[in-house]
Amino acid sequence: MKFGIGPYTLQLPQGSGQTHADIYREMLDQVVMAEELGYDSASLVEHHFQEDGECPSLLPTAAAMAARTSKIKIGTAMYLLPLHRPMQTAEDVAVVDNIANGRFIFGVAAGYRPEEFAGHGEERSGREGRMEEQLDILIQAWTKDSFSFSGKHYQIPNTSVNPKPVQKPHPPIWFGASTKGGFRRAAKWGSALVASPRHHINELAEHYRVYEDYLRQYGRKSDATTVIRQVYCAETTEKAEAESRDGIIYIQAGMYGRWAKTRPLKDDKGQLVSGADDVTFQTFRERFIIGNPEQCIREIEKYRDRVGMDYLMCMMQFPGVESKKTVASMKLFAKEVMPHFTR
Amino acid sequence: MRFGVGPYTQQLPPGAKNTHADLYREMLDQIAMAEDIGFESAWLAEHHFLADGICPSLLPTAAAMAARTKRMKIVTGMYLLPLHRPVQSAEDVAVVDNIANGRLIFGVAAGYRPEEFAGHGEERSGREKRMEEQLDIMIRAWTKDSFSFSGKYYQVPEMSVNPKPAQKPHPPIWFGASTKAGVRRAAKWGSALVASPRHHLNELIEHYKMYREFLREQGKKADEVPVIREMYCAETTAKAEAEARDGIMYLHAGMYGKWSGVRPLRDDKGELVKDPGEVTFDSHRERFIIGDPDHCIREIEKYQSGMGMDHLVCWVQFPGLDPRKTEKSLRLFSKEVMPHFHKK
Repeated sequence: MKFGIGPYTLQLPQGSGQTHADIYREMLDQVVMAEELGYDSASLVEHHFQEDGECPSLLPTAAAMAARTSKIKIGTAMYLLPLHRPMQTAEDVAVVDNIANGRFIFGVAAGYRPEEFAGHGEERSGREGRMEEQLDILIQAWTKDSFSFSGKHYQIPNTSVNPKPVQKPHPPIWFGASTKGGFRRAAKWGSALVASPRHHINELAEHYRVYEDYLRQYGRKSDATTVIRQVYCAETTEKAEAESRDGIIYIQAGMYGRWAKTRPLKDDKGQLVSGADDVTFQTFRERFIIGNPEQCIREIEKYRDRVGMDYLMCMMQFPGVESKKTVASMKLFAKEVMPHFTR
Repeated sequence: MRFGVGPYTQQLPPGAKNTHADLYREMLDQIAMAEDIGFESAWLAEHHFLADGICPSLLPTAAAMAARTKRMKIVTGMYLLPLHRPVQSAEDVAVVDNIANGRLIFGVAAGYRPEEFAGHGEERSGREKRMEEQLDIMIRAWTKDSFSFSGKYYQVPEMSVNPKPAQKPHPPIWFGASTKAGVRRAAKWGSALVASPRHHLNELIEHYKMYREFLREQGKKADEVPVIREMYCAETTAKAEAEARDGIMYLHAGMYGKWSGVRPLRDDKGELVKDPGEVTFDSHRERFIIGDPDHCIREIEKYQSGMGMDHLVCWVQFPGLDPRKTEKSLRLFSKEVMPHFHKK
């Protein structure tokens, strides 16, 4: 079982008393510590135009993380490919993989928020088809001396993208997806499906079943069965809940709940919710891995046994939670939970 | 007088035994060392689609440089704005300025190579006007809670770009330019004009004369007068020339010379270069600051008195040059050249 830290969102809630420069610095320090503690990767989320300044610039941020570390993998979870242009994306990913000396994991997703597409002047409708052309372009750019492309959405003249990434043929491409079409794309183009923290384990079991069917159809294998969860570990479960609940609900309500009409969200009973107000700690509790070390171990075993999870990405830094507290959780988790799974 | 290093390009000449990953690692180590010995800025350049892999990704690389340093300014020299999109550029610059804790300087230029525009699906013709709209959008994005924009080239719906940069109102915008219109744009939109290493001092004196007139018209002052020069310092001038010439020629003939059809290049006599084969070490020698410490001092004084240079950017890591040689050159320069200018 491997454990990643993140994804980091770099959100600054109103009235926090800190600056964005502070939280970027804290994140980089945390990633350096995560490397020392044995976390396998550190990752980032992408969103745009939010009051709290949620990180819109994944590849520059990933490069900074890579520059401060030497062993831990650096990943995106997820880069919203259809908001970007494929040639610059190909170049940026290759350069980041060089800065990271071959440690970059390229996680991608299709995006869903209408305002993000509008702000970047990209069509939301048809984004999945566009994404597949982009992936085709990226892979050709990374693996061929030179190439050209003529598709429904993109035309690229004969060009040579350099430098090439360090990893051959290219960095692993991991997918964030939750629809049937998304699972198919993940199986066809990528090498892992990464489960979002907004899904209950019941939903995930079904997602991975469909994904594995598609993998078989395409004759492909996946690198890992990766699940992102909000994770927080303290000496007692009460303490863990008290320290993390507000920050977790900031994300679950403020991110997933707020966009529940654009992208479906279900509570622990499997009921669709209609907005941020329906998202509470109690009604979503089952999908958080929050507690004392034994509680965390038991929860992780559930995912391992039910879904075949072998890679847990621990989203541990919640907006508004003091970095010191997150670091204590990171350390306790590494000391008391991880060894149970990595022997 | 401030001293900087760069622009770094991470170019891997044909037949090189090392890798791009090596070049990025060496560059990051080198700028951290340079910061320790008194260099105050680290620069990087942008180009695309070349076989030697010259760096096409400035803002990710700048973020890495910021993460490895504490005090140095990180300067894009230059970000080719018309090849990019303004909203993502605004977001990326703001994030890098936060990672750098307010040390980013946003250097921009219009670009000129046709294949770069073609590869990015952007029109080359009209790029200067497009660039002005982009700058307008970016400045609004950085300084207003929310904004919208409707121009000839760009329409941006009401939006709020966050985070804001660490620097207020925004990172300084410096320009690389050498035509009259470019220099006028630099005066209107930016706060410094950056002199490219392809120009002889005589040309720079003309550029800065124009620039200062345009600044007066705008009622503005320049932040600084930064000049990029290839620099190499050794115990004797003969040794400096021997160790540096091949790498410098890789740049001058291989970059400026190769594109002299698209962007004018002049030799030391002021004659236009019509053929990259005409570019030799001797025909362009006067614009390199290469020699023993005394030679370097005298050359720097020429730029100080001739055009008011107050920030010398030392292009030191020539493609193919062993970085250990570069380090020796930087240390000798720091020890024997810099103090001469810090006494003033």
